[in-house]
Amino acid sequence: MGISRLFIDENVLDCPETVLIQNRLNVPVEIVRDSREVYKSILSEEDPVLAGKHTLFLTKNKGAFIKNCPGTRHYTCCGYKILHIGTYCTMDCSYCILQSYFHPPALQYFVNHQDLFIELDSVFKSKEINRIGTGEFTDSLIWENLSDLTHALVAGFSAQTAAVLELKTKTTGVGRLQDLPHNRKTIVSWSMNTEKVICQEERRTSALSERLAAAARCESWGYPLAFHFDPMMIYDGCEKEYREVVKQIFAYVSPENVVWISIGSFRFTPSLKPIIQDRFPQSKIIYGEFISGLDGKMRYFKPLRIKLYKMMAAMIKEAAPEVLVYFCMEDDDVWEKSLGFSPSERGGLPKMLDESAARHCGLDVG
Amino acid sequence: MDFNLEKIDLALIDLSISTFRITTHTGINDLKASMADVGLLVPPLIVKGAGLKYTVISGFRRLSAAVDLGYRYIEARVLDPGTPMINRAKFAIAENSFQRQLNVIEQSRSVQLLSSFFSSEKKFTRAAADLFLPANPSIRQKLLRLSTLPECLQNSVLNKTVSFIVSLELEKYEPTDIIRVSGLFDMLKPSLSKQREIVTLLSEISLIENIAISDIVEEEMIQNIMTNDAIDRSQKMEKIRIGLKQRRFPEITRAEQKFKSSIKALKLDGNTRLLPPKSFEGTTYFLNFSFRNADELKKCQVMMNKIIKNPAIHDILNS
Repeated sequence: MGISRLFIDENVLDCPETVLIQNRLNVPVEIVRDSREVYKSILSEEDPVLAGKHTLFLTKNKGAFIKNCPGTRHYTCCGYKILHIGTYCTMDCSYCILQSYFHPPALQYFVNHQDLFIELDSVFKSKEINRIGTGEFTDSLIWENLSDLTHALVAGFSAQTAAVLELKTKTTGVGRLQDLPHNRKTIVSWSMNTEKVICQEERRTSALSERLAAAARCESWGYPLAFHFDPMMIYDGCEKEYREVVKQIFAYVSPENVVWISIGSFRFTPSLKPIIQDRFPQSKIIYGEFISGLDGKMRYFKPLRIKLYKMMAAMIKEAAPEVLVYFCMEDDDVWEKSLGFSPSERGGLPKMLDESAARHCGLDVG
Repeated sequence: MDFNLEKIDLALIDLSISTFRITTHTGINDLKASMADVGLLVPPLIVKGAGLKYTVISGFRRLSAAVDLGYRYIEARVLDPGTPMINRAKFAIAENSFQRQLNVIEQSRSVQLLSSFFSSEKKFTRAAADLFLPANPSIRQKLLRLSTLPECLQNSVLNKTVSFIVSLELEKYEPTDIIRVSGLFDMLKPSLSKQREIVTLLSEISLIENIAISDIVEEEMIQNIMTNDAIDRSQKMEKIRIGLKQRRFPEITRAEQKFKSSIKALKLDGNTRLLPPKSFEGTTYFLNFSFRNADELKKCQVMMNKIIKNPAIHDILNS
């Protein structure tokens, strides 16, 4: 993982997960009373964003483990729930919002798993379907060499029928999923992009073919799959390259096993722009035709998004007509112009996704 | 300050060494007139250099005026040759800053001169404050950066055709780029916000198209506007700004132009305005009527009906 420093919150020193990670990591340990000591240390580095990727802080999640996805009212949100297992990532994507989301960005891993499972138990008892993922504030699988949490989560989800777990990743670290009793309640999903974007903008991530090979392995172990084309980048020749990625997906996996494919284009808070300029001077991704969106984030000019989305939706439809395609954080106008309908005509986006999850993963509806 | 008042042969004073030069003023006509009228009031401050010649600490303009007036000798305050360099620097700064408000380039020269003697921020801050220089570390850093910029850009900052802030944004570019941009601003004298916009547009176009900023400025589009005598400075600035914006945001510009031509086709009267969603991102349009009485309100109603029947409104709403 490239972690060279381990900070441990003195309150979680005796926690079994702490002991396990400490043994597996084998790097110098500093015990701290206050998280500010960790942040101060990271901030003293020349490149705190990078330093944060090599510094792990084991602590307790003092807030809720399960949070609603932070959507905004201006755009349609999928109603996803975040399982907040930790923050930040060891990979280094130029566009990553986490670079500016945490102050400073630090690899944190929450070890109070007992509390996590208490919260999950209440979700499992819910009468409604819940789609829960660990890949919002971190990559779901970067912790595989350190922690056994995924094992416990997959097992936990397998024993109920009210929720699905989505493990979202850019890695190929799926080896430990092989023999888990998942009962199809865990969806393994990959972030997809063109070879060019992966090569130029997604440092230290797996190549496209490797991600797809990992997806094929998961499919062979019976896991349902999902793919996320987010963030899509607009550049000369991008349409042809995205078309190629869609083709490749279905050369590796069967459409019947894909629960959903999401599409979203690059968007960023204005505060991320100087970070990208500073850390990735060769990157041109911030120089597209962006406007300030209704949520204050910079987004590609709407007609450009629609043009790309229409092409993608048509391409996916042709390759896999039954697969549910949805947009991440777009309005009805974009839905109608790109897909020919708005989510409200089909009961709303959360319902569309719940139904697909129920169908592919065997959940109890209502 | 230990010095002797001495009569010195002007030929022995080396005016080419500008280590201690703080002032940006170069004109000497006023000084010549005053010296011709009442003589030299404050003798320049000099110090004996390594050879026979004297180095100027302060009084560059007085010495130039004296040369121009045909003086052979001048009365000068001659510092002890053992005067430490830090003290010479302080004297040079004080002789200027105690007399008048230093401009930003003079401040940057002073800060640069003084900084070389201090490794401790705290000690520098104290010394700077004693000499009426900005003591704030962040301003100090900016002034230091300014002192390293090409002379043409420093001159533009001095002439207020390039703002101090924008000059620092230009720092990262090649000298040829800086010369072209400062030349452009020297001629067009844009406001700070326009300067920033132009620099951002130029730098982003340069990155997108892999082309030097200087080459963009040299292109026909900008040069034709610059040499067009039929339009004034602010019109030139606006045309250049729009041209660069079109190039940087071609699709957005096309949409704006299409909207404008649709609005034209709607033939709105002076009391009616149709506004698109901001950046065409939302879906809500705003139709604004102005009226003062019932008759005018009725006219608005007629206008409204005309708008609804005009195919141009459907082009707008369905685009």
